[in-house]
Amino acid sequence: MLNFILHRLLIIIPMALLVVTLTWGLIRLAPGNFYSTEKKLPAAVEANIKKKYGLDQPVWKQYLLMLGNITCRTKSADETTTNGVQFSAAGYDFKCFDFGDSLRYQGQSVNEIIRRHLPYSATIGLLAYLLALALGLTAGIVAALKQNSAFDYGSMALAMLGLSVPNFVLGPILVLCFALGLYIFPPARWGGVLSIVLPVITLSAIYAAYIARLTRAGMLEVMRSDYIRTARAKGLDETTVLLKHALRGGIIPVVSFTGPALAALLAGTVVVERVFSIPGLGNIFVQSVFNRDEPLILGVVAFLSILIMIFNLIVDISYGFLDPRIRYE
Amino acid sequence: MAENVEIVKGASLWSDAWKRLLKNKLAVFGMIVLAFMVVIVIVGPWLIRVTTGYTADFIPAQGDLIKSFPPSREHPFGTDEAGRDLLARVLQGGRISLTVGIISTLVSLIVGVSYGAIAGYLGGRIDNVMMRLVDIIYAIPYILIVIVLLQVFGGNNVLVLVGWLPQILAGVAVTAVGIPVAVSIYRWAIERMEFSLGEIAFNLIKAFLGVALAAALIGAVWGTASLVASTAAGSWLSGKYSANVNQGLSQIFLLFFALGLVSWLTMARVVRGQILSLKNQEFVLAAKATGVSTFGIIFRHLVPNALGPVIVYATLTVPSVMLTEAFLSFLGLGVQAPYASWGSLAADGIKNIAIFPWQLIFPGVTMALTLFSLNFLGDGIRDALDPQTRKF
Amino acid sequence: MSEHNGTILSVNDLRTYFQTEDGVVKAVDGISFELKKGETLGIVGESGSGKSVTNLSVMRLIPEPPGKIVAGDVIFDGIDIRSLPIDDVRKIRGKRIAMIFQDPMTSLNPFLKISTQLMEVTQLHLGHNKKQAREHAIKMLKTVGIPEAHERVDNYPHEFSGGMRQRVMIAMALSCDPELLIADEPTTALDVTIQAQILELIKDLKTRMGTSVILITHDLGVVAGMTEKIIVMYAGKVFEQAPTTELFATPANPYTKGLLRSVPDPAHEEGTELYQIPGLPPDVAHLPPGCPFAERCYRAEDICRREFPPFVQINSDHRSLCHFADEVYAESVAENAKGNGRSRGDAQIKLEHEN
Repeated sequence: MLNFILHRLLIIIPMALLVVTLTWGLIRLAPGNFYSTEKKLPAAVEANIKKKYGLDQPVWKQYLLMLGNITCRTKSADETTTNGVQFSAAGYDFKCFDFGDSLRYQGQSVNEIIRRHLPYSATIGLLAYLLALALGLTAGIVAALKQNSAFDYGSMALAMLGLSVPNFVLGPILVLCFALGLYIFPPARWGGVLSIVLPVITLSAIYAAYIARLTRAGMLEVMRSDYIRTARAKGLDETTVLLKHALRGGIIPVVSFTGPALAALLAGTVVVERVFSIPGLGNIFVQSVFNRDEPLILGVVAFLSILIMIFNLIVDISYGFLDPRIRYE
Repeated sequence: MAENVEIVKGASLWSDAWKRLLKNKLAVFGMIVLAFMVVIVIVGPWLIRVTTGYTADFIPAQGDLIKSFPPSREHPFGTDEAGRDLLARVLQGGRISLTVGIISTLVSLIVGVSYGAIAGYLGGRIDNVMMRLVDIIYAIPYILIVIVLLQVFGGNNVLVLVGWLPQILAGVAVTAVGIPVAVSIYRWAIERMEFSLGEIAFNLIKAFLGVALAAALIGAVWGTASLVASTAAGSWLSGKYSANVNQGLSQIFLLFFALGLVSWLTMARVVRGQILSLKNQEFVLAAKATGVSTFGIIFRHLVPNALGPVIVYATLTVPSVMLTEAFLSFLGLGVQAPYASWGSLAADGIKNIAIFPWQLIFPGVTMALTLFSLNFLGDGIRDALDPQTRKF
Repeated sequence: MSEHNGTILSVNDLRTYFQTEDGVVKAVDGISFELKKGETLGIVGESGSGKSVTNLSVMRLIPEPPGKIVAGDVIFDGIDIRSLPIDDVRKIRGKRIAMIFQDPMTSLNPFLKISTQLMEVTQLHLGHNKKQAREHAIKMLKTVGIPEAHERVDNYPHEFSGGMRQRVMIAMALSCDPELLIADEPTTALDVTIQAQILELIKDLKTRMGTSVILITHDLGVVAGMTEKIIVMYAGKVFEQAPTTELFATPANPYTKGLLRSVPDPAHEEGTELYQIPGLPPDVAHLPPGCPFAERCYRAEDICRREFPPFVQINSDHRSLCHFADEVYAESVAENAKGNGRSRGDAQIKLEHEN
């Protein structure tokens, strides 16, 4: 088990670098750049800009420089930046994890920007998934127990609806009804508990739907298995059979789902932040892509990739806890 | 004597499944709605043009006067902010949404099935490597890369990509030929190596050989592509191509590719799992014994039998892809003007939701309804093909 | 606890039907039998004959939709199981009636330790606390022959081999010293060598603890050495009922005779075909009006296809469902007397002693 964890942890850094390389490659391959989106600049001005940002160097050199900055390299005396993690060892100065300054937001380092905007996205994302778990698990378990009842059909139809309505349609509709129509919640912006209710509900809807369906299917399959029959044959009551024997196996599909769900949650956050004008990381990312703000793009991509890989690792570990047959050796 | 035993009529898997599907009321409902949508989306725009003269991009002379009209007899869905008939737009958008959904799913099917089938059939080390690759790629937040891809190559820039088409095709051709060649070389070399070198040395050499072959393959692809680009014929082709191509349509093709990228991984896994379990069954042995080639075995014998879960997954991928396209349209990266999809129409409609809610509601509801029926149909197909999961 | 002539279980005209999309499946259609204290009853039949459903019905373990016990009585030690509230049935399950199932891998919860699964039975029915339950669990494991029981008790099911798992199931079933043990094909999923061990174990425990046993199987070899009486089931009905030795020596039903002939005989002549009852078991959703075995029966005549056969009482313990029960019985007696090797009884009993 330990070997497995170690192996996965070690692979995170090379993977993140791979993703960053891919993204960097895409940005560089394409026509256009960050400084001349509307009009063409005079040659002299353009040359200056290129020199300032090191764009006049050969491409492979730029790549290696970027790579070095992102990971770790020695810092020469005339570099004044305070970005990243800096320390001294063996007589040299080192600088690590420096993604540079944003090209668009002058004077702000990428690390700073990420740090500033992350809490918004993280809060909404986390709350949304917790809500989805609470709603989905409950609905799924009850639907499985009362199979073919009104609750079963009703909740599964509702879940189906949740899967079919895009979140950027659901959000505004919720705003229309509850904020603009009924004045219960504020329509946008960030401030106070009430203001996150609608964004969290909008974001969690599709996941609640998936989880409800997965739980129901998983529980139904487990309830049909031989060992549940054995549990009943031993005289255990239905509640014990459900909670002690059936639940562990039944929620495994949900655990597996959490990995890809978190990756998709990222995309969902982007929408919700836009619809509800929340200054979160998703919005920052999309903006930076539109602005061709390379350092910021790379920084967010690297950060999010690492985050997702860590989450996937946690999911896989808990998988091992739930199912003793899959204890990685 | 007991000779008049009844001969039970053998029903094939498909006719059995079809019968079960028809018994599932929800799935049938889904099928009907879907069929209705498809028909109306094909016939509708033509019908509207013929009866009222409105098309999806028709802006009437006094466009200003009927901007953003609420639903009326003249315009059953109202008009958008440029004065265009919303019903015509929604129907036209339907064509594009459904096409994008289906073709992107096909792309991910083709890539995923080929990859998974080859991995599953070749098995052993190659399967290991291929699936590790999938696991690794799975960790990448694809959406991020797709967003970057579409932004930098979308819109006006898509023509640059189009200009690269000869190189891209050359590269794909070299890859398609190169992979089997590399695999054969690898296997040939391994078989001829001596084991007297000891375990560790042997593994090192195998790894080295693998990496060397991979590098050689990548070099060959890149080399060919550059060669094609640099020759006079190559650049002439690129130029001719990009001059004659429709930008909007190219954007849509780019979308097919990008969306297909997002879902092929799970498809590959599903197919590989199926192939693995089928591989050792007797009909494969029979095919081998009669001299069918590896390629033949994979694609003519194994794949048709692995189709069950593949179909189920494909039917469920279509709505998922359509949702992703809607998301991309919301960001402005999806279908570009003058073309519209349900997603882009809904995204446009959000702007005015407080004042002209129908601009969001009609495309949104239409899309939701279609996805709804697709999901029910997908569920029904899954239940029909695998009766164990039925409500019992 | 009252005793009714030493009868521990009495099943009368039990009917369990299932509602499926193909129609009503009469899985069990009028089964009656009695089991005395300490006795071992064998229930034999092909797949689909209804033997498992019978026993699940006894414990009311039939899933209510789609199944339902529509008629009949199940009297366990004077208690009418059918009319009991379900909570009381649960008090009997695992404590006074225990069941072991066919496939121990799927019948044990793969997510829980063996200790948990063993302990919960005694904690529930005997009021043990954790310590007592654990000690009892280890003791039971030792009884069934699991080596290093005190260590292995904390293992998971997948860490045991097939034979070991079945022993664990037996330990679990016998934890509360039940009066009746129902063994549903306990050896079918196991290797032949392990089969013998498990059967020996059951026999041994039965003798020591005085448990009554119902042994369900499709394997005639298994029932030969283990049971005092046998019922043969087909298409949800009892086709023949007799003491074991009598059934093997002088069967009174063509189906039973067919079954006995199908068992490969070591003395069988080389080069001749092995016998097999022709045809397939019937579709229990669509049974013909007459005898369900008519199509495959070597002795079938018109009346068999038209009329449902009567249950003929051959002697005090021997009954057979057949229009020609008496004739078939007479034939068997004759064959047995001749001792021409067609009699399976001797061969079977010989086999049992060799094991």
